[in-house]
Amino acid sequence: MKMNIKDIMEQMQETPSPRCWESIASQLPAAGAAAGGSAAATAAKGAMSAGKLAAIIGSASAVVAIVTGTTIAILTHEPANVPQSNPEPAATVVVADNTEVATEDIPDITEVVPAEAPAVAETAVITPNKTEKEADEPAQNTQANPTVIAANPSTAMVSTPTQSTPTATTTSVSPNPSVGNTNSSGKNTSANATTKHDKPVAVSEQEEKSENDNPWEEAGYSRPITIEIPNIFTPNGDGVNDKFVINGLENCEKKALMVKDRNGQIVFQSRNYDNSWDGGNLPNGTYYYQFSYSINNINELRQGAVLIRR
Amino acid sequence: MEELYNHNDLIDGCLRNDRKSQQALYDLFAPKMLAVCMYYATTKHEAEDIMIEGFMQVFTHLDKYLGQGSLEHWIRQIMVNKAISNFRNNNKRYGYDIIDEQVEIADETANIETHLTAQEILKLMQKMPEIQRMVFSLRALEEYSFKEIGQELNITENTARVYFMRAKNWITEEIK
Repeated sequence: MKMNIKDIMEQMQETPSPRCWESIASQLPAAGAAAGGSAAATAAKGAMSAGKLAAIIGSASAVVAIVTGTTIAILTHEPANVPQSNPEPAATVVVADNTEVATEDIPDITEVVPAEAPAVAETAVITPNKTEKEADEPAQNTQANPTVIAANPSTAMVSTPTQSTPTATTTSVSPNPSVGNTNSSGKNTSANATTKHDKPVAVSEQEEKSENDNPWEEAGYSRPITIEIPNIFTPNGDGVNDKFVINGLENCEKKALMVKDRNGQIVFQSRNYDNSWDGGNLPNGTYYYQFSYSINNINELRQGAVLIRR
Repeated sequence: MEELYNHNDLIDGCLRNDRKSQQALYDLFAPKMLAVCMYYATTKHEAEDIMIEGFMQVFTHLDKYLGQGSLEHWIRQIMVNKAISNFRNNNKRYGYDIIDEQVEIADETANIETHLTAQEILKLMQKMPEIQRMVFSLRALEEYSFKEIGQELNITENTARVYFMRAKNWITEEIK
């Protein structure tokens, strides 16, 4: 018996989960308060406008990032997509750099760069052999923006040769080329930005000189271990991204994974995770993971969201 | 008639902010409204979020319901509007291409006949691109005109037509 699609859909009913009514009840004005309705509405509006304000601030900083990004691109002759692909970190670091430069009032380029290094070190100190906290970017990013990664080593070298000894600070500035690390590229481009503003020509000369150096080996360190956790996987049996695979898991000694759904229910738990979780029978949607691991007896906890989409 | 009477009682209770009436109203309409929200969402979670927002608006604006048309229709309209604004919020950064191709609209209605169950159709719909699903649901299930769809989704009327025909052709293929 064939039926029209609309009639079929009209008959459809779906039981909402209990959280829906709980959420509505908690938002409704307290029972008995007759005038509460309008007050709650006003409060909600207030919250809305606060949210909008935050959104505007957010987009404004993104714009700043893009603007600075293009200046950097012009000055360094790097492809324009390098800074733009990571607008936010660039924005924050650039602001920090500007204040740094403004207060110290540095006239000369050779002094600018060492002054830069501590500022960068504050934002993120990545010690070698320790896991990178900033490597939160999913694996897709690494693949999606090969230019970013390729561009990093050359831009990163700017500060290295100007300092006499390759200290830990220097290494923290230079990125690991194998990681699509947002923060490091943000740092590097901003370091360029401030120096370039002063004397663009001088920096590009330095850049050429240092192009063949490997900052990690020069400083006597091995490459850092990175843990990359994806933010989506597609367990649909097509052989691509069917499982929740954490890159670099083999380097971990302890590896405990816990996944919760949006209601806070634990949907997956493993004390010794082996990259085998395929989402089970869970419906498509967003889930939240906590991954605690240890490398060289240093315990770390990473948490974030992962989307299951079949 | 009895149903109408019940609704009036419920509405009075809700306007007095009586929690029991509110829950009764919710229990009465939630399963249907969640189904409506599911037409416009990719996951059940998303649909539930839309429904929660919708019911909040229902309860805070119930005094605006003047008894014209059925209460279910009024609530459903709110849900659809919430779904549309949810879609707009999610997609405000992306502009959709304006499609210039002229389509021959043989049949603008969604007279698709099938053996499938609602759940199966829903699964198919969730495989469609979001914009296509929005256009399809609004046209086929809510019976919006293409002009209205264009205004709501910020696309041209012709683009809406193209998306609808694509969706319709695709779904007709799939359910064969």
